[in-house]
Amino acid sequence: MSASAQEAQLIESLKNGHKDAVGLFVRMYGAFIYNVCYQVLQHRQDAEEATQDSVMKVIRALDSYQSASPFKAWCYTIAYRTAIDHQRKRRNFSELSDVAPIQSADYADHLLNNQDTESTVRKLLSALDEESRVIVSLFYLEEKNIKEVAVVTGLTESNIKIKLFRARKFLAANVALLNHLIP
Amino acid sequence: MEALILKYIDGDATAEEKILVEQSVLEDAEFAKLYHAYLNMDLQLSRHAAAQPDEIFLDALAKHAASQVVANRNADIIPIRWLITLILFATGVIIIALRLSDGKSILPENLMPDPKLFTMLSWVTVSFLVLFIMDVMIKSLIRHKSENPLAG
Repeated sequence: MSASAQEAQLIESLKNGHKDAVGLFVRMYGAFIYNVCYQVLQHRQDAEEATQDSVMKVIRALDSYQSASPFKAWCYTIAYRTAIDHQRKRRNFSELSDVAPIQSADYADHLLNNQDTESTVRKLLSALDEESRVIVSLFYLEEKNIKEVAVVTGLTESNIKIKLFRARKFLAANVALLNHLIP
Repeated sequence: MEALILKYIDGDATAEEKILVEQSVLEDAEFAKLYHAYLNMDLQLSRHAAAQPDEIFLDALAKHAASQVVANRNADIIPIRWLITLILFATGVIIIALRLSDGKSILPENLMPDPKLFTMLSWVTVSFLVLFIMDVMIKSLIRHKSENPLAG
């Protein structure tokens, strides 16, 4: 069975309220939705809550899904908007202290304090705006396929290329700084 | 320069551009430094750019979502119960209204049901309404408690 046929069958089963289809949907799209939410919120627990909300919204709104647009892009839109809503609520509660973007002057200290590569990459990414973070993340997740990123995000390829170029230029400069500072 | 390096790293460079980058890396120290910075960044991002959720979280999410779908499916039955309740209630109201109009029945005596039937109907309607309200309250309480089972 082709991927699109499998996807169509999954959507139909979800619409019919099949319990097993829900598990399969979470297996197929849960990590993708989580990644979108995480890139916006930059906080594991918040991303998990936004993922949970997004998954429920996708399931509840399935009747309004038009099969003309890719299902993944539809899931992306719901996940991104849900994460933005969560971020807005979080801002209202002034709980941004642990996720505030790092100012460039503080990079060296921040990066030297944590030599774990993964968290360093996360910290560097957190300095970008949420849309750029999502684009960078999707670009690598989709094996550098800009067309796929464009389909999923609904942005134009040229827009993605510009944002991607700016983000990677910034990241490369800071990774270079990190390599220079760490003995 | 950066754009060219990125094209090379992403595998989008033409044959001429590839030669240019490879030559520049060998001959120009500044270019080589920049190239390696981009290569390092690309390597680290391809490993860590995408955030991966915990497997435990995904399992819990799948269970939670499935239970919500089942609950929603059951909730679809509510409109039918609402309908039954309304029919019973409306029937009761109409019969009582017919009976109490001017203290006499509007219906002819031979068509008037037994008064015991009114009492029975009233009790059935009231009991049904009480059970229905209790059912709604308990369900909303359970839903409220299970709203964020994954948080924390």
